[in-house]
Amino acid sequence: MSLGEYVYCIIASKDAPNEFNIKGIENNQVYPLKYKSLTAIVSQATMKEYEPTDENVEMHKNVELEILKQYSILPVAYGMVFKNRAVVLGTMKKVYATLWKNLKKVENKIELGIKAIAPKEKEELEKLLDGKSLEEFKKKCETEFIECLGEATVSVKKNKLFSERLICNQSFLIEKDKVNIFTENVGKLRKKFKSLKIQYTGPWPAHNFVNIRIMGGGR
Amino acid sequence: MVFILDDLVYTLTIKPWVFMMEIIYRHSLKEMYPLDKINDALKEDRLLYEFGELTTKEYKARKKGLMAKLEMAKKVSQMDLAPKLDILGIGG
Repeated sequence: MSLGEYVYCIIASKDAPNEFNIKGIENNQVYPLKYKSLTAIVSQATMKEYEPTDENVEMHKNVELEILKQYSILPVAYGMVFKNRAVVLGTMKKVYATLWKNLKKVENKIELGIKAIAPKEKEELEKLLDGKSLEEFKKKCETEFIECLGEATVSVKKNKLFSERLICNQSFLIEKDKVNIFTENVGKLRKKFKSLKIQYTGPWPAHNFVNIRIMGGGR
Repeated sequence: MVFILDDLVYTLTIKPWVFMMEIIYRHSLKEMYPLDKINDALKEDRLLYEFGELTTKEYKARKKGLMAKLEMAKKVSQMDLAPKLDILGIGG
Protein backbone atom coordinates (compact mmCIF):
# COMPACT_ATOMS: atom_id res chain seq x y z
CA MET A 1 0.00 0.00 0.00
CA SER A 2 1.23 3.49 -0.80
CA LEU A 3 2.02 6.23 1.69
CA GLY A 4 -0.21 9.28 1.91
CA GLU A 5 -0.43 12.37 4.08
CA TYR A 6 -2.44 12.04 7.30
CA VAL A 7 -3.84 15.36 8.49
CA TYR A 8 -4.31 16.04 12.21
CA CYS A 9 -5.24 19.70 12.39
CA ILE A 10 -4.74 23.17 10.92
CA ILE A 11 -2.96 26.12 12.52
CA ALA A 12 -2.18 29.65 11.40
CA SER A 13 1.02 29.87 9.33
CA LYS A 14 2.29 32.96 11.14
CA ASP A 15 2.70 30.78 14.24
CA ALA A 16 3.98 27.63 12.61
CA PRO A 17 7.54 26.41 13.12
CA ASN A 18 9.43 24.54 10.40
CA GLU A 19 9.41 21.26 12.27
CA PHE A 20 7.89 19.47 15.23
CA ASN A 21 9.38 16.95 17.59
CA ILE A 22 6.26 14.76 17.59
CA LYS A 23 5.52 11.28 16.28
CA GLY A 24 2.14 10.48 14.77
CA ILE A 25 0.27 7.53 13.27
CA GLU A 26 2.57 4.58 12.44
CA ASN A 27 5.24 6.37 14.47
CA ASN A 28 6.01 8.78 11.61
CA GLN A 29 7.35 12.27 12.10
CA VAL A 30 4.78 15.05 12.21
CA TYR A 31 5.57 18.12 10.13
CA PRO A 32 3.94 21.32 8.82
CA LEU A 33 2.55 21.76 5.31
CA LYS A 34 1.99 25.43 4.57
CA TYR A 35 -0.52 26.98 2.21
CA LYS A 36 -0.70 30.77 2.45
CA SER A 37 -1.84 31.69 5.97
CA LEU A 38 -2.81 28.15 6.94
CA THR A 39 -0.61 25.24 7.87
CA ALA A 40 -1.76 21.65 7.96
CA ILE A 41 -0.11 19.45 10.56
CA VAL A 42 0.54 16.13 8.85
CA SER A 43 2.56 12.96 8.87
CA GLN A 44 3.07 10.23 6.32
CA ALA A 45 0.73 7.29 6.77
CA THR A 46 -0.52 4.31 4.79
CA MET A 47 -3.35 5.15 2.38
CA LYS A 48 -6.20 3.10 3.85
CA GLU A 49 -9.45 3.32 5.79
CA TYR A 50 -8.40 3.92 9.41
CA GLU A 51 -10.46 1.93 11.89
CA PRO A 52 -10.81 3.84 15.16
CA THR A 53 -8.59 1.51 17.20
CA ASP A 54 -7.62 2.72 20.68
CA GLU A 55 -3.99 2.98 19.65
CA ASN A 56 -4.56 5.08 16.53
CA VAL A 57 -7.19 7.34 18.08
CA GLU A 58 -4.83 7.91 21.02
CA MET A 59 -2.03 8.77 18.58
CA HIS A 60 -4.23 11.26 16.71
CA LYS A 61 -5.37 12.81 20.00
CA ASN A 62 -1.80 13.07 21.33
CA VAL A 63 -0.60 14.95 18.27
CA GLU A 64 -3.53 17.38 18.55
CA LEU A 65 -2.93 17.91 22.27
CA GLU A 66 0.80 18.54 21.76
CA ILE A 67 0.06 21.15 19.12
CA LEU A 68 -2.74 22.64 21.26
CA LYS A 69 -0.23 23.37 24.04
CA GLN A 70 1.22 26.17 21.94
CA TYR A 71 -1.19 26.97 19.13
CA SER A 72 -4.85 27.54 18.35
CA ILE A 73 -5.90 24.55 16.31
CA LEU A 74 -8.65 23.70 13.92
CA PRO A 75 -9.09 19.98 14.57
CA VAL A 76 -9.54 17.60 11.66
CA ALA A 77 -11.60 14.44 12.07
CA TYR A 78 -9.81 11.17 12.70
CA GLY A 79 -8.76 9.18 9.67
CA MET A 80 -8.28 11.94 7.07
CA VAL A 81 -5.46 10.67 4.86
CA PHE A 82 -4.72 12.18 1.46
CA LYS A 83 -2.92 10.70 -1.56
CA ASN A 84 -0.01 13.16 -1.43
CA ARG A 85 1.01 16.70 -0.48
CA ALA A 86 -0.37 18.16 -3.69
CA VAL A 87 -3.83 16.87 -2.84
CA VAL A 88 -3.63 18.28 0.69
CA LEU A 89 -2.56 21.68 -0.65
CA GLY A 90 -5.17 21.55 -3.43
CA THR A 91 -7.88 20.81 -0.86
CA MET A 92 -6.71 23.63 1.39
CA LYS A 93 -6.86 25.95 -1.59
CA LYS A 94 -10.44 24.89 -2.40
CA VAL A 95 -11.78 25.31 1.13
CA TYR A 96 -9.39 28.05 2.25
CA ALA A 97 -12.08 30.56 3.22
CA THR A 98 -14.01 27.99 5.27
CA LEU A 99 -10.87 26.79 7.03
CA TRP A 100 -9.79 30.34 7.81
CA LYS A 101 -13.23 31.32 9.10
CA ASN A 102 -13.36 28.29 11.38
CA LEU A 103 -9.82 28.78 12.65
CA LYS A 104 -10.74 32.33 13.62
CA LYS A 105 -13.75 30.93 15.46
CA VAL A 106 -11.52 28.84 17.72
CA GLU A 107 -8.55 31.23 17.98
CA ASN A 108 -7.28 31.29 21.59
CA LYS A 109 -10.09 29.00 22.63
CA ILE A 110 -10.29 25.48 23.95
CA GLU A 111 -13.00 22.96 24.64
CA LEU A 112 -13.81 21.69 28.11
CA GLY A 113 -16.16 18.83 28.89
CA ILE A 114 -18.53 18.28 31.77
CA LYS A 115 -20.31 15.03 32.52
CA ALA A 116 -22.34 14.31 35.62
CA ILE A 117 -23.79 10.97 36.67
CA ALA A 118 -26.43 10.22 39.26
CA PRO A 119 -25.67 7.96 42.24
CA LYS A 120 -26.06 4.22 41.76
CA GLU A 121 -27.81 3.61 45.09
CA LYS A 122 -31.60 3.94 44.99
CA GLU A 123 -31.91 5.81 48.33
CA GLU A 124 -29.29 8.36 47.37
CA LEU A 125 -30.94 8.90 44.01
CA GLU A 126 -34.36 9.43 45.58
CA LYS A 127 -32.87 11.92 48.02
CA LEU A 128 -31.25 13.77 45.12
CA LEU A 129 -34.42 13.83 43.01
CA ASP A 130 -36.45 15.10 45.97
CA GLY A 131 -39.79 14.15 44.48
CA LYS A 132 -38.97 15.10 40.91
CA SER A 133 -38.79 12.61 38.06
CA LEU A 134 -35.35 11.81 36.66
CA GLU A 135 -36.23 13.64 33.44
CA GLU A 136 -37.29 16.78 35.31
CA PHE A 137 -34.10 16.66 37.37
CA LYS A 138 -31.97 16.29 34.24
CA LYS A 139 -33.59 19.35 32.64
CA LYS A 140 -33.13 21.37 35.84
CA CYS A 141 -29.47 20.37 36.08
CA GLU A 142 -28.81 21.10 32.45
CA THR A 143 -30.03 24.67 32.91
CA GLU A 144 -28.20 25.20 36.19
CA PHE A 145 -24.92 23.89 34.81
CA ILE A 146 -25.10 26.15 31.79
CA GLU A 147 -26.03 29.17 33.93
CA CYS A 148 -23.19 28.52 36.37
CA LEU A 149 -20.54 27.80 33.77
CA GLY A 150 -21.79 30.31 31.21
CA GLU A 151 -19.79 33.18 32.69
CA ALA A 152 -16.58 31.98 31.10
CA THR A 153 -18.17 30.43 28.02
CA VAL A 154 -18.29 31.44 24.36
CA SER A 155 -20.48 28.56 23.27
CA VAL A 156 -22.11 25.43 24.74
CA LYS A 157 -23.03 22.16 23.13
CA LYS A 158 -25.36 19.64 24.74
CA ASN A 159 -24.23 16.14 23.92
CA LYS A 160 -26.17 12.89 23.93
CA LEU A 161 -27.14 11.44 27.31
CA PHE A 162 -25.96 7.95 26.43
CA SER A 163 -26.69 6.47 29.83
CA GLU A 164 -29.77 6.47 32.08
CA ARG A 165 -27.52 7.68 34.90
CA LEU A 166 -26.02 10.50 32.85
CA ILE A 167 -27.51 13.75 34.10
CA CYS A 168 -25.44 16.13 32.08
CA ASN A 169 -23.09 15.87 29.10
CA GLN A 170 -21.96 19.24 27.82
CA SER A 171 -19.05 20.71 25.91
CA PHE A 172 -17.96 24.29 26.46
CA LEU A 173 -15.93 26.51 24.17
CA ILE A 174 -14.03 28.98 26.29
CA GLU A 175 -11.28 31.57 25.94
CA LYS A 176 -7.94 30.14 27.15
CA ASP A 177 -7.56 32.90 29.73
CA LYS A 178 -10.95 32.09 31.32
CA VAL A 179 -10.05 28.51 32.32
CA ASN A 180 -9.52 29.47 35.98
CA ILE A 181 -12.97 31.07 36.24
CA PHE A 182 -14.50 28.00 34.64
CA THR A 183 -12.66 25.70 37.05
CA GLU A 184 -13.86 27.73 40.04
CA ASN A 185 -17.42 27.45 38.81
CA VAL A 186 -17.11 23.69 38.40
CA GLY A 187 -16.02 23.64 42.05
CA LYS A 188 -19.22 25.49 42.99
CA LEU A 189 -21.31 22.92 41.15
CA ARG A 190 -19.51 20.06 42.91
CA LYS A 191 -20.30 21.67 46.28
CA LYS A 192 -23.95 22.19 45.37
CA PHE A 193 -24.50 18.74 43.88
CA LYS A 194 -22.46 16.61 46.28
CA SER A 195 -24.11 13.33 45.35
CA LEU A 196 -23.47 13.77 41.63
CA LYS A 197 -20.18 12.52 40.26
CA ILE A 198 -18.95 15.34 38.05
CA GLN A 199 -16.23 14.73 35.49
CA TYR A 200 -14.41 17.80 34.21
CA THR A 201 -12.12 17.14 31.22
CA GLY A 202 -9.93 19.10 28.89
CA PRO A 203 -8.47 21.12 27.45
CA TRP A 204 -9.43 19.58 24.14
CA PRO A 205 -9.29 20.87 20.60
CA ALA A 206 -12.73 22.25 19.73
CA HIS A 207 -14.04 19.11 17.99
CA ASN A 208 -17.61 19.76 19.09
CA PHE A 209 -17.62 23.28 17.70
CA VAL A 210 -15.81 22.87 14.42
CA ASN A 211 -14.81 19.67 12.70
CA ILE A 212 -13.25 19.31 9.31
CA ARG A 213 -14.13 16.17 7.44
CA ILE A 214 -13.39 15.95 3.77
CA MET A 215 -15.26 13.15 2.03
CA GLY A 216 -15.12 11.77 -1.46
CA GLY A 217 -12.58 10.44 -3.89
CA GLY A 218 -10.64 13.69 -4.04
CA ARG A 219 -8.44 12.42 -1.24
CA MET B 1 -45.67 -28.81 -18.39
CA VAL B 2 -45.39 -30.51 -14.97
CA PHE B 3 -42.21 -28.59 -14.23
CA ILE B 4 -43.83 -25.31 -15.21
CA LEU B 5 -46.75 -26.04 -12.89
CA ASP B 6 -44.34 -27.05 -10.11
CA ASP B 7 -42.45 -23.80 -10.49
CA LEU B 8 -45.68 -21.81 -10.52
CA VAL B 9 -46.95 -23.48 -7.37
CA TYR B 10 -43.60 -22.81 -5.63
CA THR B 11 -43.48 -19.17 -6.74
CA LEU B 12 -47.08 -18.47 -5.73
CA THR B 13 -47.21 -20.35 -2.44
CA ILE B 14 -43.88 -21.22 -0.83
CA LYS B 15 -41.55 -18.51 -2.09
CA PRO B 16 -43.46 -15.55 -0.53
CA TRP B 17 -43.30 -17.26 2.86
CA VAL B 18 -39.57 -17.88 2.56
CA PHE B 19 -39.18 -14.28 1.52
CA MET B 20 -41.17 -13.03 4.54
CA MET B 21 -39.30 -15.29 6.95
CA GLU B 22 -36.01 -13.90 5.65
CA ILE B 23 -37.18 -10.35 6.26
CA ILE B 24 -38.42 -11.20 9.75
CA TYR B 25 -35.09 -12.89 10.49
CA ARG B 26 -33.11 -9.86 9.36
CA HIS B 27 -35.29 -7.50 11.38
CA SER B 28 -34.84 -9.69 14.48
CA LEU B 29 -31.10 -9.59 13.99
CA LYS B 30 -31.24 -5.80 13.88
CA GLU B 31 -33.22 -5.80 17.13
CA MET B 32 -30.72 -8.16 18.76
CA TYR B 33 -27.77 -6.01 17.64
CA PRO B 34 -28.87 -2.39 17.86
CA LEU B 35 -25.88 -0.35 16.73
CA ASP B 36 -26.76 2.85 18.63
CA LYS B 37 -27.43 1.08 21.91
CA ILE B 38 -24.18 -0.87 21.71
CA ASN B 39 -22.23 2.33 21.06
CA ASP B 40 -24.01 3.94 24.02
CA ALA B 41 -23.13 0.98 26.24
CA LEU B 42 -19.46 1.29 25.24
CA LYS B 43 -19.48 4.98 26.18
CA GLU B 44 -21.28 4.28 29.45
CA ASP B 45 -18.78 1.60 30.48
CA ARG B 46 -15.89 3.92 29.63
CA LEU B 47 -17.40 6.63 31.80
CA LEU B 48 -18.06 4.27 34.72
CA TYR B 49 -14.46 3.03 34.44
CA GLU B 50 -13.19 6.61 34.51
CA PHE B 51 -15.30 7.25 37.61
CA GLY B 52 -13.80 4.16 39.26
CA GLU B 53 -17.05 2.21 39.32
CA LEU B 54 -15.55 -0.56 37.16
CA THR B 55 -12.18 -2.17 37.72
CA THR B 56 -9.78 -2.43 34.77
CA LYS B 57 -10.51 -6.15 34.54
CA GLU B 58 -14.28 -5.61 34.51
CA TYR B 59 -14.01 -2.81 31.96
CA LYS B 60 -11.81 -4.81 29.59
CA ALA B 61 -14.12 -7.85 29.82
CA ARG B 62 -17.24 -5.81 29.15
CA LYS B 63 -15.55 -3.91 26.34
CA LYS B 64 -14.49 -7.14 24.66
CA GLY B 65 -18.05 -8.43 24.72
CA LEU B 66 -19.49 -5.18 23.44
CA MET B 67 -16.89 -4.87 20.65
CA ALA B 68 -17.86 -8.34 19.42
CA LYS B 69 -21.53 -7.28 19.43
CA LEU B 70 -20.58 -4.06 17.65
CA GLU B 71 -18.89 -5.99 14.84
CA MET B 72 -22.00 -8.09 14.43
CA ALA B 73 -24.23 -5.01 14.56
CA LYS B 74 -22.20 -3.33 11.80
CA LYS B 75 -22.62 -6.40 9.58
CA VAL B 76 -26.32 -6.57 10.32
CA SER B 77 -26.79 -2.86 9.61
CA GLN B 78 -25.30 -3.40 6.17
CA MET B 79 -27.98 -5.96 5.27
CA ASP B 80 -30.00 -4.28 2.62
CA LEU B 81 -33.67 -4.58 3.51
CA ALA B 82 -35.00 -1.60 1.56
CA PRO B 83 -35.56 -3.07 -1.93
CA LYS B 84 -37.48 -6.05 -0.54
CA LEU B 85 -39.65 -3.82 1.62
CA ASP B 86 -40.47 -1.70 -1.44
CA ILE B 87 -41.49 -4.75 -3.42
CA LEU B 88 -43.88 -5.73 -0.67
CA GLY B 89 -45.24 -2.18 -0.55
CA ILE B 90 -44.35 -1.89 3.11
CA GLY B 91 -42.02 1.03 2.64
CA GLY B 92 -39.46 2.25 5.21
